[in-house]
Amino acid sequence: MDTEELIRTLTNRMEPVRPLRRPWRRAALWTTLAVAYLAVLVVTMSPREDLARRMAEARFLVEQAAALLTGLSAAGVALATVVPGFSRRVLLVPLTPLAVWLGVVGAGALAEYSASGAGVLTWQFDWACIGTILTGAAVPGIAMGVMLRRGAAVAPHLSAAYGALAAAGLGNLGVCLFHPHSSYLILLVWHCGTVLVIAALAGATGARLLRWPPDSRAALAR
Amino acid sequence: MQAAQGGDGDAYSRLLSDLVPLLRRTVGRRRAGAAAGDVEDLVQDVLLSIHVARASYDASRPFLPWLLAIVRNRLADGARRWGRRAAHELQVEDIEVTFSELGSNTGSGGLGEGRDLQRAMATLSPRQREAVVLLKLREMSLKEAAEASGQTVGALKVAVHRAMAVLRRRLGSPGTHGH
Repeated sequence: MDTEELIRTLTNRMEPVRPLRRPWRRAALWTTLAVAYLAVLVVTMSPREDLARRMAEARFLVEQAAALLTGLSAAGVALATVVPGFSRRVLLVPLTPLAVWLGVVGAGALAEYSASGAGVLTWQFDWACIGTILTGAAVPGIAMGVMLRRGAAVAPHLSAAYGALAAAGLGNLGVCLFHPHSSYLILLVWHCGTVLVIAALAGATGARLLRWPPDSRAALAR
Repeated sequence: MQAAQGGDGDAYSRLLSDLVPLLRRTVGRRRAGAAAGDVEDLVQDVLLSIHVARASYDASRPFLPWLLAIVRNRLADGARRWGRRAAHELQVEDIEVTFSELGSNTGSGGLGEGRDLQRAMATLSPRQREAVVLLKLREMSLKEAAEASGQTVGALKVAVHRAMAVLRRRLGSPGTHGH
């Protein structure tokens, strides 16, 4: 097929399309869906018994606020990256709340080590954390995937990584409301670590997850 | 582009036609040394991608950054496909070409005719035709194509190289490639 014939074919087959909403509006929609899902999850699992006490602690509030902002900003960035020509500066936005979140949890782990010495470093597998975070991230993750595929994933690794960070970050936030952790070290490794690994794996497989463009030539041949 | 999003076919046709010279220059600059056919393939890839991605364009923002981001993505993908093609083909010098039809060139034009391509494909041996379908049209990996066809990887490489050489000679000008 020569180029002029391709243009005629595309013009003959074109239909009106509804432009995507701005990324921040799509992020707001996604956040609404994610929060609704997490609210159902928390109610189903029953909030942790010490939640009211923890909510009065500044460190806990800062930690959860930073996790929330990480998730929300990552969602906005992910949805921005499927609009070709996006500004690369937006990629930096979630890094600040992420640093605060890791910093607060890391500081807590360091304080525990200072208070208890090397005994606090006893390795403890907490696979339940991974399972619950994945449960919390599942529906937001699927919703994010659907919304990302409606765009043009010209940087699929970035879109997938930030999308997964958003889903896992919010999922982790929900989990923290019903699943208490025994120490900040456990939190650092099994919560923060799980969220970052999920984001990294999604980024590594982004091109497969968000295959773009679809096989256009095969569609034209039909 | 905004008019095209609304379904204005004339505007869309004008836009794409106006973009072609720009795309040829841009792709030609970034793929210096590429064959004219490969450049045209990439230009068509970009046009197809624009078609697929047109809902993502925000009319309140400049058009060129949106377009160039798509061009960069297609150039990167084209480079990966070129690398796979170079790995998939094994250059063989002693190409035997026989044609079962005499005077099979219709003279009606080059690669623009799908029927010419179909006729050219029909002159390939079954193994060569299968190699082209699996590796070029379905873009399978060598391993996947070997499993699907029962041919070895080496045999597939030879078959697809010979098939492409035959198709190029049958279809004449290297200006455009058909898919």
